[in-house]
Amino acid sequence: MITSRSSRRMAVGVAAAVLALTSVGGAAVLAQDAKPNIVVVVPALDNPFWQVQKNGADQAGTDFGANVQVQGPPSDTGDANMIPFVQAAIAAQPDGIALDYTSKTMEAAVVAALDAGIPVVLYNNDRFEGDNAPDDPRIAGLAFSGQDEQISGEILGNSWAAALKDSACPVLIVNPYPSAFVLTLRADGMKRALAARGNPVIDLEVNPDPVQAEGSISAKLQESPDICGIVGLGNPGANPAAKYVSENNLGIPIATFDVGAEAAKWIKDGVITMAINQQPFLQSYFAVANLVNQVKYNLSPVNVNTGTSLVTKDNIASVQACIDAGRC
Amino acid sequence: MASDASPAGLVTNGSASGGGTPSGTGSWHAGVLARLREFGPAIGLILVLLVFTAIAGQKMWSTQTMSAISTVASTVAIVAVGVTLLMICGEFDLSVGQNFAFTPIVWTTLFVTNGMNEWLALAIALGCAAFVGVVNGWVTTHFRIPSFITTLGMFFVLQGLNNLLISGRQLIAFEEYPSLDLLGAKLPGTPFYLPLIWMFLIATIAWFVLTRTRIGNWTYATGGKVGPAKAMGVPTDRVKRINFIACSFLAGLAGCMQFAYVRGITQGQGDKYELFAITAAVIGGTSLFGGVGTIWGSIIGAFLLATIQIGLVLSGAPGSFYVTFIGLMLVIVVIANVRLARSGGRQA
Repeated sequence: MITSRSSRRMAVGVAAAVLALTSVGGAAVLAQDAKPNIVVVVPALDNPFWQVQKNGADQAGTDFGANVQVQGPPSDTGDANMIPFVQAAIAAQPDGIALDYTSKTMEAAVVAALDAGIPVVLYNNDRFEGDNAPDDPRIAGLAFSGQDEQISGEILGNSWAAALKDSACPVLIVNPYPSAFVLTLRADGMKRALAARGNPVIDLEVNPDPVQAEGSISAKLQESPDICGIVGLGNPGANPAAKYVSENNLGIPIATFDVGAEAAKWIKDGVITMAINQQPFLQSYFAVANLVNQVKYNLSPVNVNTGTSLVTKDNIASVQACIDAGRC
Repeated sequence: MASDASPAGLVTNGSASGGGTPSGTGSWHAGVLARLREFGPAIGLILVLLVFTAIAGQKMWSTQTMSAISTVASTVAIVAVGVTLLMICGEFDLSVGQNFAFTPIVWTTLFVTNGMNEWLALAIALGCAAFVGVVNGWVTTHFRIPSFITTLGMFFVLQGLNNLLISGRQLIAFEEYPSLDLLGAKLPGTPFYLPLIWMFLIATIAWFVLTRTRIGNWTYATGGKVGPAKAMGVPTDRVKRINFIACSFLAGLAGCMQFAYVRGITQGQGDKYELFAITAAVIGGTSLFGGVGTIWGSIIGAFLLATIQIGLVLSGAPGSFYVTFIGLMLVIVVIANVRLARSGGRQA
């Protein structure tokens, strides 16, 4: 016989079951609607190159429906300083992590992420050659979106060096952030290209403060008056050189990596004769896209060669709009 | 403001006007040592110039070198003047380097990005610079915490603000702007730029205030012995707060001059300037413990740093060797000052 108490209990039981089922169903629906959480770790946040990377990652989040967090130290103080941010990312258990694999220093953190079951893709650098060869076999197979900094350096060197007056004169390479490993990689590529031509190289480390950098460059040009070309490994190295060369009418060709607001002006004036734009926007954009596709559709991430664009006085006008929008 | 006759023994030695004999000792020996301390930086600068001339030759005296040294020195020197005033009254400001970027970032954000009138924007930016000093001074004196800590905290606060405001981008202003010409233009027919003139003007005013006015006297007193100073009626907290404001204002103004010269601003401007400014002040004879220091000593200190930086590159040394050299020199100078002070019977 069904007493009123047992019918109440049954009603409660049925209600509870319905509630449980709908909440599970609801959670399942929510899970389908929930956006993937992606973390992108960058080496620095305080210069245009990495800000454009951030813009690319953020845009990919919008376009592909993901929550993207770009994390990194405030300024570029070497690849080891990215490790704490990777570890923090792993602890947060995101749906994917994108990393700039600048050297073997990054290996342990990548292994930790993979062991935790978090998908990892690489962007901007995947340095596996020589001493950097990873011991963990999974790492070499990770997808990479970008243009290796060394290759960029070589491409720029090969194209720009044609402007040098001969192949015996020395080229000055200005490094505004000696602790930033990516700049060393750029320099390596540039030096390879110059060595192939026979041009000797002079290295100069400067403080990123523009006045101090200009002072050091001016002193170096006096110390070695036969310098026939200047390469700034980043705009903070090239812009002061451009100011000095322009104001003193020295006519020395200058090359740089990345195109910021001031560098664009020097390119328009023909003082910076060539710049390489690695399209950093696309590097992080496709890194995020890779991860979202893996999370949502179980598709394996793919390699993307984001290419490079060489910028000179002839095409700076069309690049300017891209610079202003924060995509170049 | 005429300088009142200071109570005997209240003002410790080091003011540029008379220099130096501690009242009460009156020995010729102490007088010579005090003079050595005053003229040490100048002697050092002459020696360094001679050494680099011997190594690098005529290039050390070329117009490009004069231009480079004076340009590098002038902005550091203006920051060092502010830092000196503060150190004399016994406090530190580690946030000057970030303020050096913060103030022009505020200025350019207002007039370049948002189209405000350049002069109004400059006034607001300099107001922000001074306000940083107000905060530094108030927190330090009200809560009685070491200024080292207050300004270290402000360093990070400004670093974060700079990132928020400019986010790694660069703001440029290569068009004609009278305010930029006023602060940073070249002096026609010379290899020198306006910040150098501003530096002399600011240094002269600061020297006059420090050595010829009551507030200057109070600054030395506050840094010398706070207890007796207070007992004599010196408003030590107010003196410190005023000097905090002066220090931050000058750092911000120097940053705006640098922007006017470069015509571009990023967060990287002023990188390590707090260290250069304090080093210039200490090499110039300012004591880390307060009560001792001169404006012209710090100016010479700034020129010494710039000369070494440029001279080393001219001589073929690696560009980064400069900071190693500065570090060694700083320690040697402080050791020498401590020795001099001990044998002269007063604090270093």
